[in-house]
Amino acid sequence: MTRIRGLIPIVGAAVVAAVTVACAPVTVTSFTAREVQVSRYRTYDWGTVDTAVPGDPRLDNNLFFHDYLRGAIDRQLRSRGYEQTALTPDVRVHYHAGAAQRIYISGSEPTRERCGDCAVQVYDEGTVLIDLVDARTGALVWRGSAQTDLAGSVDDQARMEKTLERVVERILAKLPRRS
Amino acid sequence: MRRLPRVLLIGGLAAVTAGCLTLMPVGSHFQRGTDFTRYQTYAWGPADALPLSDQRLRDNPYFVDDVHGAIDREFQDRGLRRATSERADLFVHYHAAVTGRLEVESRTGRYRDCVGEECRGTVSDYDAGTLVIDVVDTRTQQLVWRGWAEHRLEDMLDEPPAVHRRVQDAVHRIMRTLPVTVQARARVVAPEVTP
Repeated sequence: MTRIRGLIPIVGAAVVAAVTVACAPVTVTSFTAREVQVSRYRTYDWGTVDTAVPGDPRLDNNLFFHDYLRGAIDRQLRSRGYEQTALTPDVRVHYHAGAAQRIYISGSEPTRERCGDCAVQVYDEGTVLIDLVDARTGALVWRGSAQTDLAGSVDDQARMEKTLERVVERILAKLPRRS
Repeated sequence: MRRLPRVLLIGGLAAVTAGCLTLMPVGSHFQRGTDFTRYQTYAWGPADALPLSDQRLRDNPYFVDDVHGAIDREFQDRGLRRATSERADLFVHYHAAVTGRLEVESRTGRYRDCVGEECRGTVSDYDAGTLVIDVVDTRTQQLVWRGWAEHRLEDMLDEPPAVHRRVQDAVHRIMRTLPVTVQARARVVAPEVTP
């Protein structure tokens, strides 16, 4: 029993670490072209997609990553009322993915001369950017993007898929539902 | 004495964590639903335009030889036989990419509080080498598995025996992540191909 009680902090720390990695914050931004009502578009199709992923050789031309990302975008677009068509789509969808290292300074007062418990950390930030282009005019009408800490999610396929699903859901939540 | 198992456990966890995070992170992705047991032969795939993205690796003949040899050995240990490209079930090719990376030595954990200059961590940069092995189904021309390992590039440009050891280790760790079905079949098939 003593041994089990001794393991509790270790198991607890592992669970906290796993939850932290699985739920790394996602920063989302979106832009809509002026005087464009995106919700009036009804159908979409895929535009040309560059499978290069600058900054991460593991994902560069990685079919599994791109297939999942594309599927996640399809699912979210459908759930917001947009329909895929190969005939004459209203918009074409493109995406870009990339990765870069970032430096994060944590601590209670990191911007002042004195700080308690300051720490400098380097982490891998992944970016997914989704574009909707008017198929008739070729003009960009909507762009959504998200950044999150990759924190080991690329090395584990299931975790990568969960991360992609969450990121795409957060990005496309900014896209107006079809009216 | 009763504390010993816990100390060993924590020490073990720390060693594993350090090994995963700083020494050689390894990972892989595979095509779900693929029956890997039906693959019996492989061949080196058509030469990639740029299998080695860095001049320092391209100029190092030991590295190229070691990677080829290690991959051949790992496949054969798993019961896969090398065949001509016309008869092979799988094509194998690899890429070695080099990426500039940063690392920080932070003071957290040693000092709870710091003032001015003391607060600054040490930031340094280094080149990380990523060895990526791709396995393609020759019939469908689809990628069915990709595995990789990352390591400091400087260690891959060392003396030939050191490069040899590190490449062997990297390829072995990558290939350990092949789907279980391939490895399970290897135990049956391996004795038949052993001379």
